[in-house]
Amino acid sequence: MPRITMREAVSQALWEEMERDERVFILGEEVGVWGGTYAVTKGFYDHFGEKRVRDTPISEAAIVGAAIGASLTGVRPVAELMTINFAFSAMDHIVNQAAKLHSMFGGQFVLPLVIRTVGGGGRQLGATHSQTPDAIFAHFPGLKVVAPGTPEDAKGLLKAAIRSDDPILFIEHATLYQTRGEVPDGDYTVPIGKSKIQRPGKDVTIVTYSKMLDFSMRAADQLAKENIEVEIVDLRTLRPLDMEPVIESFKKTNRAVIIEEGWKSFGIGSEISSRIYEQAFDYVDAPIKRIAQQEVPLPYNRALEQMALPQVEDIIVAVKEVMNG
Amino acid sequence: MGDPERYRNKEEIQQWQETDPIGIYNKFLMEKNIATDAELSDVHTQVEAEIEDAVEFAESSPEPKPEELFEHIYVED
Repeated sequence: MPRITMREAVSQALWEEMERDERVFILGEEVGVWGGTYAVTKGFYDHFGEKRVRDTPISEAAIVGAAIGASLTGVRPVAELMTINFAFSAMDHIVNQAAKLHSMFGGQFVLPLVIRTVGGGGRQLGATHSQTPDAIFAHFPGLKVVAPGTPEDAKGLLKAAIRSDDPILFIEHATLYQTRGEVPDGDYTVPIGKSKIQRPGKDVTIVTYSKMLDFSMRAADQLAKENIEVEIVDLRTLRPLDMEPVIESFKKTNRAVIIEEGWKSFGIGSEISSRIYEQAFDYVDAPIKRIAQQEVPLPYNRALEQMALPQVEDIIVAVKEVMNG
Repeated sequence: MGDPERYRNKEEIQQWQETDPIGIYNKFLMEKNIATDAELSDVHTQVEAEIEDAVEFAESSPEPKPEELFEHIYVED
């Protein structure tokens, strides 16, 4: 199996789907001539031409609005928003139009629309460019929210997203583009709405996704040296949320730590822990722990930024605490 | 600008500097004899110096203390 970066995985998924289906096209800021802010669409403009790789004005509302309209006509847009922080400028289009049109028109229309965007902090980009507001988007029925943590999943999930007839927000992590991993040869998809055990274990269930999967895997390596075997469930899709592997794992370990990069209040950890208490209360041996970002706008200063973000060490401490709980 | 601007060329930048609000206002001030080219140029130099001072101040300041992470989130706790 080839070993590629997350950037290459996303790029290959787009390229292969555009080759496979001429209805697929890309639009966004600097996606064309410049090749994308994160260089994901480098070479696309020359190969596929300006009709299928469209540079847009700096207006997220216009990008998503145009993509919604286009998708209703039968083409399959992949809109790129430079960062998820700018998705707020397109919020009405995303949550009031994309998420609801299929339902409000009684299923008469489909929106085969993917909105690719980039989230996460840790690069000293300041409070307004470093957020992880994934939970906000996962709040809305009608929108699917996907956030891969490995190159294999990024490629397979993006291909599945492009082939789906539902509107999908596809969140890539800004600091994972250089992460390498093996991907299967040839054409494959990864199903949307399926969580996955990324590491088997018997002592504590870790539930996480995206960048925090990488941190959890590192924590697991260190914990294994102390004979603590964590099982890591990667959500991969936040909506629709697949709790089955989580519950199955929890019934075995009876202990859980949930790790997300965003804020704890009203977040992913809140949702997952509630569902575990609802669905597996009799199996609980220790209070479930949540690890998340400190409840502050992320600072620019490197030391303070790192202090506010979840770290590998936080995961190790929390796992040991639930072991003793 | 805050980045290397490799996505646009010098001619494009110059064109927009002349026709963006700052460029238009400069022209307006000169046409109405409110300010001369030299005076506007002085303002520019002065602002550049202020920015350089601010950068210098930031770079020579001590690192913030860890507890500052939680300051100024709200007016009242």
